[in-house]
Amino acid sequence: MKIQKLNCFLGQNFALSDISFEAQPGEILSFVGRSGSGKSTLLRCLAGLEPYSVFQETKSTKLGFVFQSSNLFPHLNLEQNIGLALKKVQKKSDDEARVIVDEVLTKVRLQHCRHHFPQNMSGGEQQRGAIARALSLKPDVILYDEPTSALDPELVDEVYDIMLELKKTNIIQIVVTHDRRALGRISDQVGFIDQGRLQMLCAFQQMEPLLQQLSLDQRKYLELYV
Amino acid sequence: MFKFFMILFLFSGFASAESLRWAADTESGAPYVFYDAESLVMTGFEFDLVQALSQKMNREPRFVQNAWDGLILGLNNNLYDVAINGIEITEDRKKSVYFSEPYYATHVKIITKQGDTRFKKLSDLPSFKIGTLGGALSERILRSEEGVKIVTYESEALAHQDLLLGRTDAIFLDAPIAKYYSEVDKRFQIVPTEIGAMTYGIAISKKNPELLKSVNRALSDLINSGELKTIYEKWGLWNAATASLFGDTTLNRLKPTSFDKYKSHLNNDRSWKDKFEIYQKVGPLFLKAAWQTIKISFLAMIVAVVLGLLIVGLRLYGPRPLQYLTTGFVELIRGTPLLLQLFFIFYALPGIGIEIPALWAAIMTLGINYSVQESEIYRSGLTNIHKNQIEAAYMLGLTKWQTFWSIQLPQAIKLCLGPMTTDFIALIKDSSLVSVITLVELTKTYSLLSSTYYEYFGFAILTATLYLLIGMPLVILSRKLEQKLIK
Repeated sequence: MKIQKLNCFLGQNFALSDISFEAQPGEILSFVGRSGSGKSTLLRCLAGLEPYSVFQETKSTKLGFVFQSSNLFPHLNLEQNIGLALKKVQKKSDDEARVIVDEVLTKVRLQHCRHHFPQNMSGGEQQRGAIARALSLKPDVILYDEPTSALDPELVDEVYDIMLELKKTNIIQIVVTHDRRALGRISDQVGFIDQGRLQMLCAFQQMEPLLQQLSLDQRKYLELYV
Repeated sequence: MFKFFMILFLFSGFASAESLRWAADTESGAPYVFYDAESLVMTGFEFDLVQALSQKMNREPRFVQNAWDGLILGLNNNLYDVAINGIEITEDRKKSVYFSEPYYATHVKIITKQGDTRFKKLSDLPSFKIGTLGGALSERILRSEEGVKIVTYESEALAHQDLLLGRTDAIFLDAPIAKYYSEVDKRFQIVPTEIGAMTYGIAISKKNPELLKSVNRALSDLINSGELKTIYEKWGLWNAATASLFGDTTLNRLKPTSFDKYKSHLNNDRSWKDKFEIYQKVGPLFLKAAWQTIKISFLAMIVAVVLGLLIVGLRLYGPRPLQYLTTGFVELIRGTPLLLQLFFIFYALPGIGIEIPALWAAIMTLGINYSVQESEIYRSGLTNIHKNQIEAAYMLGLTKWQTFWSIQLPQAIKLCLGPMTTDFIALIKDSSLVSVITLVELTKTYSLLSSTYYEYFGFAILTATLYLLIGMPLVILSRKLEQKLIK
């Protein structure tokens, strides 16, 4: 996956300017930045939810998206949530769909929630359910918009565990987050976005020396993460 | 048994080619046109007049029930040929309809509670609360008298009721009404002074000058042969004014048999057995009326749901111009009274060539009126869904239509069930308004029959029970569905 010079206007302002990055299969990219910095907008552009222009991009069209909350459809149980697109979009038979549902539920360890409705599942289970639903369509990329910020701290790890396991399947995972543990624990690359620009992009371990290039204000913010 | 079929038949307001379709309001209609309390057969001096008249004209009388206020409107829309219901000949009315030669002359009387001597003449009325019937000469006289606090009623029975309850100080009514409602009841007294003068005429559409001629010919036959006088004598209504109108100065010859019969049925202390018989008699009429209410409301609900979905679809997903158009439509319908809409559809549209039968006009109007409220309910249901879900559906590759059908609609239905039930119950109750366009449904039947039997309390409970029973299945259904959806 390769993005070169992505620009996005929202209203009259530049929401994003000249964002470029590259990701290899199996990598997890984390984007951090203050509220309003444009990091969520970047994710929405990649998902096709916002209009954008780009100099050059190599990107799979098979994308999954996991929102911060309200991911699962509340009127359907978990199995139906996952099966809906399989049947309606991919025109799979009931039996084919069931096999896939089994497979993805095993991956996210949610077999026991198969017939549960979202309101009867914990926040962590709901997020894992949303990941399972994204996985069912066999995406090359999964985009996460603050997937753990609505969760209690003890539930955060169960989501990260799943994400780390998915690395093995060569899926590219791009995460926008506020969670400082995420950077060290799961990221292969960390991007820092401020005022619509990608100020820094590197491996988590290489962050410290690079901090010197940033303004004091930006450094102060990022030091919270290191 | 035959009598029941007669009444059912009359209630249906059937009309055919060779008939003389005549209209009146039978609600507290004595002595004009009303239902005999004993037999529940239609009667009244105007009923007798119509029978004699159509015999002379060699036509078959067919009755059409309409609310009094709508009588002239219906005439202009060819719902019936003539309206005969104590309609006073006035210059204003003459502008919109033809009137036959007058068939009765009378005046207005003051009625007080027994023993009340405050009121002797018109000039005693100012500064008091006086009840009268809306749209009648009596009301106009009161309006010309400064300082009178006028209370208008649609039913003479209720005007009397309120006088007894002290809500008015006196009532002011046409002499025939006074005779049949006040004279027969010891609790009232009629002040002898005769006030004003008026004549009743048969109203005929201006499109029908031929009919006017033949009605006048038949009427003059009835006057000259003394047949009309006989009718008035039987009903105890022959008076000096009518005598001079007819140029007939002969004295009263006959006993008022019809009046006596009417009086004998006005027994206020009925035994339980009498009451039981009355309820047996009116039962089928109430059931038939309930069926009419069910028919109108449930068909209107279907219209409301289908149209409501269409409106919300256009408003949320239609092209811009249609969005503006439907928004305007919603505001127009929501901002105007249902009663006005009924009048418009049934009485105004025929003016531009659109004639809709009463039943369908009622269903359409109620349906359209409620479709607007339904569409608002759906709109709030559809737009209350979290934005993430629409985007999640998009990311899963669902089309807009699939998203609407599988994600938005099921959740909206759940949100809408409660408000929809409330809305439908309101519709059932609002269906009572359709009596203004000749339809006889539950509430109209209640007022017709309660004023025939003076059985306000019991019939009210019966009517209320029927309304509750009609709404009950809806409530149960929506509870069941809600439980199923929540699970």
